[in-house]
Amino acid sequence: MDTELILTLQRGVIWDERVVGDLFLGGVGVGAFLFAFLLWRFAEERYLPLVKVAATIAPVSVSAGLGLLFWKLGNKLNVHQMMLNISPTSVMWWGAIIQGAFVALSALFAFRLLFPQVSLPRVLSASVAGFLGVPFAVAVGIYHGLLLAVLTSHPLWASGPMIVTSVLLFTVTGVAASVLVYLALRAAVRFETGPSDIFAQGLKPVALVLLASAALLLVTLFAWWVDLRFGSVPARLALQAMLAEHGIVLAVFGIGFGLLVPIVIGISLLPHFGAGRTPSAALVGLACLLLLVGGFTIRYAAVIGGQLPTPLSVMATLS
Amino acid sequence: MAKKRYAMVIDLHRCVGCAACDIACKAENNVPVEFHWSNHIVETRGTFPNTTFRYIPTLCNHCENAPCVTNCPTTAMYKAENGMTLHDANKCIGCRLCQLACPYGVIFFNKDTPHANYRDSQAAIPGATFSGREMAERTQAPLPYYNPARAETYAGVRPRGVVEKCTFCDHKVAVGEDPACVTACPADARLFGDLNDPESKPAKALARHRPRVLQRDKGTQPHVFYIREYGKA
Amino acid sequence: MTAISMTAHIEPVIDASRRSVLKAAGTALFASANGLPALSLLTPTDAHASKAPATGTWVATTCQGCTSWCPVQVRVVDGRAIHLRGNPEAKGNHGKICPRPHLALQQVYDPDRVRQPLKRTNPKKGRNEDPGFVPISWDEAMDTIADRIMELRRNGEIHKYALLRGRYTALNDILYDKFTKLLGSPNNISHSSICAEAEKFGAFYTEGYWNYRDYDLEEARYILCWGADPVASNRMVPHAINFWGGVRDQANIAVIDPRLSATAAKANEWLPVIPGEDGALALAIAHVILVEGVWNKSFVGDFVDGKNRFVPGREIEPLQTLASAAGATATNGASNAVPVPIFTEKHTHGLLAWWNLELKDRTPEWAEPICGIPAAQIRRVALDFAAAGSRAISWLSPGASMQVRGAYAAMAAHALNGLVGSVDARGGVVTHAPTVTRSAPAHDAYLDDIAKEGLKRPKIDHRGRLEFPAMASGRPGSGVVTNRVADAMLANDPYDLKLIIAYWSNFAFSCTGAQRWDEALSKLPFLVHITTNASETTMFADIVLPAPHQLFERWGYVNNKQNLHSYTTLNVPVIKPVADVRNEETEVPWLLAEKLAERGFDKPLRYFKEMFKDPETGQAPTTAQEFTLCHLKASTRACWDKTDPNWGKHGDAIDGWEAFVRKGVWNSKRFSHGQRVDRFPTVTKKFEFYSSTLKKALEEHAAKHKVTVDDVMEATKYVGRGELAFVPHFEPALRHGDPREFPFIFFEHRSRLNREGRSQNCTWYQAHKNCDPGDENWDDVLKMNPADVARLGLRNGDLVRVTSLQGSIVVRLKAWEGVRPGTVAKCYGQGHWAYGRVATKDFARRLPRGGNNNELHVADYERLSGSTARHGGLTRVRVERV
Repeated sequence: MDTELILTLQRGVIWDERVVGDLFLGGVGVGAFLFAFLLWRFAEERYLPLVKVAATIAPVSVSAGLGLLFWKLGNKLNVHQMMLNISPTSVMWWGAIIQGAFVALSALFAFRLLFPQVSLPRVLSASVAGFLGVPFAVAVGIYHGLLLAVLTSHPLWASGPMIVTSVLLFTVTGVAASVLVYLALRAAVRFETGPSDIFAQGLKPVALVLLASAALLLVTLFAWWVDLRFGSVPARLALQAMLAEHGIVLAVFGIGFGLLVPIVIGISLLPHFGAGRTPSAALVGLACLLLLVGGFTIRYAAVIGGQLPTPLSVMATLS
Repeated sequence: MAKKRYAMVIDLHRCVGCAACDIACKAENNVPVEFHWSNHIVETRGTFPNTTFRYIPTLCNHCENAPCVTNCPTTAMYKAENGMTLHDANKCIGCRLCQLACPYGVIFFNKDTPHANYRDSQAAIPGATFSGREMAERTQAPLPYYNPARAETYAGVRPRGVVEKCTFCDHKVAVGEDPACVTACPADARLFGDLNDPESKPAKALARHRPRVLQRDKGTQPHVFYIREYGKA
Repeated sequence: MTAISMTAHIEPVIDASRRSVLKAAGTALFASANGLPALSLLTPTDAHASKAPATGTWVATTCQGCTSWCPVQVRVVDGRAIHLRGNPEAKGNHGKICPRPHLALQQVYDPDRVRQPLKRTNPKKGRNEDPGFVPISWDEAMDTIADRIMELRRNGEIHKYALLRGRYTALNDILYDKFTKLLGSPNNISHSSICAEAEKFGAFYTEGYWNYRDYDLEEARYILCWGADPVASNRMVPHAINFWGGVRDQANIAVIDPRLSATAAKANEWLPVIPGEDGALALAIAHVILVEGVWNKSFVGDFVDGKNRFVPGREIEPLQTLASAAGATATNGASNAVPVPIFTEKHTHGLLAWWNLELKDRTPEWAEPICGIPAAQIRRVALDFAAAGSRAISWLSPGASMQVRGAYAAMAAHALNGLVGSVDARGGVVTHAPTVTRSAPAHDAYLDDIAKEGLKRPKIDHRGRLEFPAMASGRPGSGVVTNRVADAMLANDPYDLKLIIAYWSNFAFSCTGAQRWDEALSKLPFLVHITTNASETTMFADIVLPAPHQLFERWGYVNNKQNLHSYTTLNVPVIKPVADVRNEETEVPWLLAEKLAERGFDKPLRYFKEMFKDPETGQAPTTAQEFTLCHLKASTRACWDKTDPNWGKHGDAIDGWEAFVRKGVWNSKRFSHGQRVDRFPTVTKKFEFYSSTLKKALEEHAAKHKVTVDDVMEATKYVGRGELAFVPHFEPALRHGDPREFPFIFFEHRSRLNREGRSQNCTWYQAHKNCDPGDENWDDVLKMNPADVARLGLRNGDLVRVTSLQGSIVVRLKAWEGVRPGTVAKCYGQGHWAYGRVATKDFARRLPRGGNNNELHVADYERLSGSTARHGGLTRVRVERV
């Protein structure tokens, strides 16, 4: 018989769905911000409504995520302690500062785009907010990966692909969310965007980036799996445990419907992003929605699955 | 005086696995019954009749390189001058990152107000037996065997929403006593003291025996060391 | 108010700065207010001070969580007990305690304690009947009981009163002994024989010691544990735990236990004997020691010519004509023809008889299939054990003796000490140094006619009948047969009990065949239960009296031994009692005596008032509390009173009562070895391998019933006949249940957290239960070998129904390699259907947490000692998924 080990630990997941939500929404937020900024800088005027949608999503989504995180805190009244105490070794402490700054900058950016008529000092221009916001957005994206990756007690998290995944996730979900919301709004409000075929053609690079990111994400997930599967014993056991618990959900909703299906849809739609043609808004919307589902599922499996208790054979290692 | 570096050495050869440490710790530190600041791993190995059993007492390792401290966003978890890893409940926001960061599972989170059994107002046989609340009221304490000395350096009972863990009984060490698990050990299997003092019991034990630590590869550099074997190797 | 008050200087702990807020010295330790002992150990100097952190004081008292009875200290803060530690003044446990005393904190402050006297309002009794308890005053309770006693005395039925004793202090001689006799009942029934009487049998019928032995661990070089689990249970737990590391450094340890016990995990050898077959193993070890010629020749003796004649299967003629040594004295051959005793025995008796009657055929190969231990291991253990000579300890426990046929296994295991000469030896098995306490004064002058008449009646427990020799200390019919009382009550044989007072006992839970007690107690007209918690037995009570917790809330004392020291340790009320309690052993009988005197029967009260006086003041007691202290001080007088002739003679010389209370313990001098050799209180004065002492007792019992010893053996379920009855011999294990219907041998063990059956209502007990090897927290698992689990198609963690001829319980299955295939094991202690809300799964619905082993065990006995057989796998079970 196998060795039997017993150690009484506190039961239950430590970071629950609220943290998944925070990470997911945070990713959507920074992705949307970068999308908005790039579109705003480099695309034509006709994409401004899309820019506005994305820019608005950024602070709202990140704030909502932070709200979820705050809800999760055991001792909410003490949250100001993060500001009173400098904790430079803590990724979470940095995250709080970076996210705070990001929310402020992205909110300002969105505000300037939405309400250009309101007069504010020059330093608070959309350009300043945008340019300043970009590094913070990237930092927040990396932070979301790093927060988990520094926890070496959790092999599923403490890996390079974890950070890359996080970056790719925000690209995919941020853009997807922006496009999805935009499409929904357009369907509801019908604002003027000019000829739809030209509009679509202009977005072809975005579609390509999205496709590429989704494909890269697939590759990264595979790399992650390889990393764990052929890694240390604890890593192997952690992967096994995660897959046993969340493997099916991850395969079906994270990879199947969440990445492969949208990639297939995307590829099939690519020819439609051309002169005189328009991709089906419904299909684009569906692809975006599925990417969001996929992004959430991957986050979920990583966060919740990564917390499955460390095998006792690891915890009982005396050397 | 030189800086202290407190550590504990657990002699598995002397330990008999009685759990007196675990229980004494709960009494000393007003620890809720669900939590185990002082804890143990038990292991049964082999196939009958070649079966062995061992018991590894565990507690916060007071790591030199403590992930709970590194990751705490408010410095509520901190390294004291004397090497102890301590926690300030007043700064704790209850994010539980320390719990995630700790590879040893020695940090516990108060999901609810602790010691619920002494706040319950039901009696097993109404009129004939007490309720938990009555018992606590009778003794005018949060729980009847509440140790007020614990409150000298830490929340006497940690409130809902914050984490808690072993403090090497810093309140006892401050007045020149050993931690409760050390004094309660009937086997004298635990040696506590200052590793910077070569004459201290743990320093001498480490010089004599090959020390081991839990999950050495995590790089946490624990201050709880294990020497010798529990039973037949 | 003439309360006996006393002051005690109690050392505050830790630093002086903290001490300043406490006025510790000169505070009344024991004051009498409203008739209750009020105890104030610290009095804050003013209201403000009470808010300052208090470190409290350490107060000495005694833990009786197991039978080690350790001197302990309690840290008291603001009148609350908060911590426990060993009494540093004690030489027995030398300042150490095991986990049990810590658990006591949760017992004394258990919300489920009985808060005041209760009376039953539902006349129907049964496990599922709600007793309808309502609170009453102590006065009403005492009136009711006194009326019942008077009624029995009036009707000439006072023998139908019984006192059932459980855990006790030495002050029990009042309630248990004197009070029962003064009323006129022969039925003071102790719990002793559900505990370990058969173990005493082994030592008594070899070396004349009807007691538990002490062991010289410091000097031992081999320890052979017969079911003994010294680091977890048995009688010297903290001492054994503390010394075990050292023992492992210098001695080999072998543990014979069907379960991988806590001590087996810390041993060099584990011998997982088939339950109940310890005797075969012990005999094989003895056989090897003799055949290999490694017995202790300076203790046992040797063949006259030093030539070993112990050859397997061959009898030895005790008288032989010595062949002359090779040729040298050939010319004197004729004079050598006179037969001489071939073996010169020194300090033992009957070695050749034992060999010839029994040992010669008991080879390891013979034993292997019976006891399940490989012959090679038997041989190795025997040789290693003997190599340690007089420093080899064969440590007998209830596990290897409290079996239906356990008496001879107990003798065999203890006889090994004789073979290696470790009896009374340095590093060996020893007895005890003398103590100086004395019991209550003679009561004979206070027996009235009714009492004298009642005392002539036979005791309720069938002791002394042909099938129950119960030969404690070699006297047939002198031992108690506790568990038989239920059957006697059910059969009205020899009569129907009508009134029982039971205290700190819970036979409806703790006796095998527990269901019989449910029936017997349901049928009993009137039961008074003195208890801390509403236990199983309480549920059948008509009056419930709250008992003080022995460690924290009452006066008393006990004697015991550990570490070659005997000691007398005080039970001290270190806190104000949590519930409205009275000292059950002294105050309750006093209060009853007052009520009886009011009703015209004043003998008990006169005995209490006339025969007891405070040794310091010379005053007779006027209240129940004074009576307690008078008796306690008088009993322990030689420990602390300079004027006593025994003071300081055998141990500590403590100057004054207050000093004794402060110190809490009187230590004897260290045991001195070798005093008993050739002065053993056996018939032959020798250590007996052939027990002339047992022969005398058995023949006396047979004569009393006009039968032969063989008839006695038959009636007591033994198979040995003839001379075998007088030597340790093989008796096959007796088991209840057909192996085809009940394929598993069920056996039980103890928990290192068991405060007998009373700690299961502590959350700390449940939360640390897995410190018992194989067990699980908050559960009560049936441990089965994984091979059997797989064979039955069961899975680890399944709920299973365990069924025996006696009954059935439902528990969780645990696949564990620490038990032998074909056997299943479960710890004793869990399975309470009453007692409190932690011990049960649902108190209101009487749902137990786990199951009570005693509802599986068939009630059977080791009848020579009167013991309840609870070990040796006497019950077979079947195990099915629920």
